[in-house]
Amino acid sequence: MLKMAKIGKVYRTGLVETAALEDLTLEVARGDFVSLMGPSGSGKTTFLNIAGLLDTYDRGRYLLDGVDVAGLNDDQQSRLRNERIGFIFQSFNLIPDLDVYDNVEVPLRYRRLPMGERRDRVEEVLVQMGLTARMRHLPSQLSGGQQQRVAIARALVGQPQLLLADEPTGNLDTIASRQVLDLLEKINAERQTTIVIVTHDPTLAARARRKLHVLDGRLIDPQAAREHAAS
Amino acid sequence: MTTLLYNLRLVGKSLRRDPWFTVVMVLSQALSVSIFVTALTTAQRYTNTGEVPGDVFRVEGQRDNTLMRFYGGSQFEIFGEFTANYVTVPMVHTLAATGLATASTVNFVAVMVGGPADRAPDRLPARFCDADMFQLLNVDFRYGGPFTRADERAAPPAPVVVLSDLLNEKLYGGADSVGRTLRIAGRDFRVVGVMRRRTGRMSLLDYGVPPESMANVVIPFAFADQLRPVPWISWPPAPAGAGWRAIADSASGVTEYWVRLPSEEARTRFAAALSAVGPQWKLHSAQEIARRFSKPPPPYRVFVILTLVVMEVSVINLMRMLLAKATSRAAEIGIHRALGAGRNVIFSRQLLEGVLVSMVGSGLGVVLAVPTVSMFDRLIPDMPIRLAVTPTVVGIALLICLLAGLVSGIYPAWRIASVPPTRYLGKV
Amino acid sequence: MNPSLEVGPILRSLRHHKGAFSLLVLEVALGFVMLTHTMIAVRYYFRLHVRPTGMPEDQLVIARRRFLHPRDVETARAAARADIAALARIAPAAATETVPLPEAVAFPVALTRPGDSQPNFAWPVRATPAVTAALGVQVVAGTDLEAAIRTRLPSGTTPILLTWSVAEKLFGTIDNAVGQPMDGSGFGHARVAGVVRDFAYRSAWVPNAMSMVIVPTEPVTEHEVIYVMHAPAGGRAAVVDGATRALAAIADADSAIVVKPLDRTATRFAGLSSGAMIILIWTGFLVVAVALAGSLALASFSVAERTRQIGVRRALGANRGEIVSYFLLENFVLTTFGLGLGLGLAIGLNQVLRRIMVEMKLTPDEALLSMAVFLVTGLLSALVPARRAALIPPWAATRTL
Repeated sequence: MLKMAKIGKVYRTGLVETAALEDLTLEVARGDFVSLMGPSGSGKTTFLNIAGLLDTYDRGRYLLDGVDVAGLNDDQQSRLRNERIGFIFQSFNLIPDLDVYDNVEVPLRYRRLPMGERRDRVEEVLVQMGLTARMRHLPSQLSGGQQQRVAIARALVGQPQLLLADEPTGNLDTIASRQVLDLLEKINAERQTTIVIVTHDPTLAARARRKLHVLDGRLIDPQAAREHAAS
Repeated sequence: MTTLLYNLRLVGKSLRRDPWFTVVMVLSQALSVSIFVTALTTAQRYTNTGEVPGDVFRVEGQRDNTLMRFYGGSQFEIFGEFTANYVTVPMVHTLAATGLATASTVNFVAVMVGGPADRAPDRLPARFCDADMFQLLNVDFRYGGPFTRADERAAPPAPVVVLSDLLNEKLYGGADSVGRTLRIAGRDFRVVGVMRRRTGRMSLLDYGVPPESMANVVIPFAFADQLRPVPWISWPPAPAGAGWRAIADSASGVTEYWVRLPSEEARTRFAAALSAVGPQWKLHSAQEIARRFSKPPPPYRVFVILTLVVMEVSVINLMRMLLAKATSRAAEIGIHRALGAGRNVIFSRQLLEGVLVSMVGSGLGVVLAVPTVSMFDRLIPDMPIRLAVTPTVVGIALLICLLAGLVSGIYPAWRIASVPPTRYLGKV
Repeated sequence: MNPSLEVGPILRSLRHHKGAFSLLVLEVALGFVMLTHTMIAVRYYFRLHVRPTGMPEDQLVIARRRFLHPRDVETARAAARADIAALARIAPAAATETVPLPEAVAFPVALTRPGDSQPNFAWPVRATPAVTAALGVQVVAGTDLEAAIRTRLPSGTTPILLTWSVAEKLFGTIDNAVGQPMDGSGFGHARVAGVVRDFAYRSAWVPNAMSMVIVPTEPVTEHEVIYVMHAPAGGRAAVVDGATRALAAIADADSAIVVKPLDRTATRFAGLSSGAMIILIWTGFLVVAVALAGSLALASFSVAERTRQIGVRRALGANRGEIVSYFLLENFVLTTFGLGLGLGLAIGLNQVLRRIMVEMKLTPDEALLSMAVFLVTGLLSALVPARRAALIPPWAATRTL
């Protein structure tokens, strides 16, 4: 599904250069449930941005579902994001002006689906997430857990092949966190959706089937990670 | 006081943070205020006739006549009125003979041929009046002074004239022309004075003069028979081709007649003398006449209303911008509230920002109004007075701008002060 | 219809920002009201400026003989007759009381039909009988004055000509008017000799400018005589030359001669109407500029505030064009609401203004043009920030920009 070879990215702010990713190589197969763990500044978010076609890379190659993304223009990338990828952010990133229904509907509008089909899909996913009662509420009227469920609904409504989650439980209490993780497992099991979670929380990372570690922009093996954590 | 200064400092910092935003706010306000002040200035000059003496009167006939109704509601409403203000020359003689007035003058405009003696003769508007006119209608002088009763009553009358400000500008570029010679209808006259055009105010002298005759020379009425003027108004209309002598002897009204009647008794007796001439003739005080011009002509009223709407647009514009700015700073305000600032403090600080921006904009607007007004003056030809932004207008405008500032500041201030502190705290 | 452009979510989102939304709508509404009425006023002055007077102004020549010393009316008349005889050899000429399109508004005459209780007003042209030819106005019924004078009328009756407007107003049809008796202030008993096509002698600013009555007299003053001549098309300069020479040839040392082509733009009223238009256009421009600048600043602001949201939309699959369209559509919806409200307010204000100045009537033209202006400026003010919004990269959803 996702194949990165020697990806490198450098941030330049003024005169300072920071290498966020150095020679990152990994492969994620379809249906995998992967967690990527690392301390802050290790490049996790950068990896996720590149994986989700949100950001560009300076070196290396990235193949998404067999397609080399370097050759794609902005329109093609947008289309790809819309159709293949679903995002779940730590701070939910719901559009504050729109109610739950409209928030979940946004990806389908960009997919140019007709109204009837949009309505069916949105309602279906809202039922699945137990959000029908709050369909017309604003994000500001929801709890953290509810907001994240809306975000997940939005990520799922387009039936993506790849779900990218950036600290999905970072702003949630324990109960809500557990609910979210149960949900992710279920999605992965039932639909074979590839899931990649990026986090610094070991308990969260443990729930994934494959656990990767990243440090200073590179993948490191679990042993090295444990040593680093101990020090 | 220190709180005010502290708040001002905070507001100043806030405004400096988005300099372009602040510039747009101030400039928008300034432009709107400039055009509003301009409109007020142009409208106000018609309504301000300045100092008018209390014991001066004009003889007038029937004010409501068909001609007035014909002109009513049009651009030239005022022309219909003129026919009521004109008396015949024989009537002037009759009234003068009563000896009741301590001062009196005729007053009419005619077109002559003449000009400076050293130039080819041209069309020359002329005002004929008696020496008393200058004191009756409170005329100021830029150079020299008026011709006097002595000049008039001399035998022969002294060939002296007074120039209007506009004529002096036209003929001599505004320089001191006292002593120069004008040749009018073939006769030489010496200039003894140049009148001063009032800034920002109409004079009773200016009403009743067609605009293209505003640049006129003032000639003693004693010379009328020799110069044979053609009065611009004769009502009922004199037959075409009638000479001055015929017109002066006819039943056509050609001139205004102003008198000074200091005592109540004199007024009563004069009124009686008027009634003897005809039942429609009445005395009207100069103050009453000035009051008639309390409303500017229709186009100016419309212009003021339009610029008032412009002001409203700019107030709402300012409101929107202040609100947007305040909303974006909501997180920071949340911090202030968490640190102990009460709702009133937040409210007054925001209000202060609005009022400050508005007043700076308004001040700039008043400054910008000055060139706008002079451009206006140049565009509309032959205005009887020099347009200028008077203190009254500035006062009214600043008052309105203060109001506008308060209005545009209050809504954003109220909105931002009523947000609970916790709402935005997490969202920094 | 592209589903990504539908207004439903926009409308629903506006419900939650009622304050800011109402202010924008109100601003557009008031701006529209102001611009519409400014256009009405500009149109009024423009009409006055270009309004045809019914005379062939490009072909009229004005000649004056100014007396350096006042003359008796009889002497002046004799001079006038000599002058006209000389001028008539060059082009149709007549002596007139004042110059066409003069700078003064003189007074109308009161016309009454036998049995009228109230007078009717018309503007007089007092001139020698060749005046219709000299002014280039066409007789449409009856005869011209020269012919009328040759047929003898009862003594004390003057032949007059009326313009079409007056004739129709007083007598129903122009043919009915011919031969009718009338009384006029200043010329006593008269009979309508003919009807001419409408023309306005004293500019279009006066009420009922085309209501004219032509009275034959020998109009001289003790100070000058004025002549009007009708030059053939394209031959005006030649007539000016010829007239100057013809008048100079007549021995008259105590006078000055001035011959000029008639120039409408040099009259005071032309200056007034163009001056008024300039001022009004400037005012209208100001209101649009204020609204535009404010909207631009606010739109940029709004984009900056929504950076993260824009990143999220991009992450969800919006391409650049769709981001631009979203902002343009949002602006369009709000502007449309504003214009709707503005139309209502404009009609309201119009009632008030019409009572002050009756010519301020609102017509669809100005309203539509004003709407177009606001839609375009709204679009422009949203376009620049929208394009900047489109440049916001998708990673703005996760990272601070």
